[in-house]
Amino acid sequence: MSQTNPPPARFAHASKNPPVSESSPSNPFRFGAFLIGWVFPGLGHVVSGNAKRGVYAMAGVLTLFISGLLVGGVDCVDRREDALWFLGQAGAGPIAFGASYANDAFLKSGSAAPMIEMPSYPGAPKITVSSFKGVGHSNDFGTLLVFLAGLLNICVMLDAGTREPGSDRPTSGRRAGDAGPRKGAAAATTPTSTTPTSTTPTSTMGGA
Amino acid sequence: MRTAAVDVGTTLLAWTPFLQPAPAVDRWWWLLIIPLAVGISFAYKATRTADIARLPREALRMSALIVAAMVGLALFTHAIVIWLLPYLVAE
Repeated sequence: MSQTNPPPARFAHASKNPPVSESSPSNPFRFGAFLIGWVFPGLGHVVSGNAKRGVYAMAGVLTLFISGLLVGGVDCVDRREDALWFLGQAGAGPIAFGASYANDAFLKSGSAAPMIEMPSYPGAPKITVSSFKGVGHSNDFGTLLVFLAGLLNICVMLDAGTREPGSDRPTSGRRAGDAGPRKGAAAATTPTSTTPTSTTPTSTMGGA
Repeated sequence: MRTAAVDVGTTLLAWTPFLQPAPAVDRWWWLLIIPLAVGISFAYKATRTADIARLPREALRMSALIVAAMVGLALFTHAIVIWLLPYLVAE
């Protein structure tokens, strides 16, 4: 009575590869992978056995981050002057803090370019800024691109925390380099011992 | 046109990447939609696509869709502002 019916054939691919990874009692949230994903974009997937997915995520986040820095310069990451923007940018990890540090070390210190005195009211304290400071479109787009990199990396980190380790490995068939039964060995083993080893998770990163 | 190209070329030679803002962004800022769309698509599809082998194709398709949608919106607003609004008589 309580037996479960198999899904219809047209949904077979969906049941084999669920589109969204979810945290459940059998698939707990992996804080280790989540935190390593913050250390460098995509690294959380790489250490949990989903290397290819991690590399694609890394490529996406770094495309945004590097584009932002190229367009706006390191001035578009400033944890003091643009603190609200930096809340999102910090999602990209230590590279965002590094960019903010480079802003302080090279631009605000005046070591990379001469400082310019800004016009101010009479009697007001004099303000000087670097002549490399980004203004207008370059600063807007640079800040936005780095901000988006940070936000998307938070999504990637959450995915690394909820995705099952090694879940990208093929469940049927073999790829070059996969540790599956060899041709000669397959003939010598019994049918019960030919369970594909590629489905076994290779890492239990922070699975507690 | 030639003067503008030479202008961008000379400022590009003097540009210090990552320290200085990119030169003449005010002229080509709209091209930034391409790295924006590609970056968002790859990061998003890395979390959503079930079959990893289809990820690059799906990400590129999503990038093309974003750019096409933005171009469509630009054409639509251009048509309204340039062609439609002049027909509205200001009293």
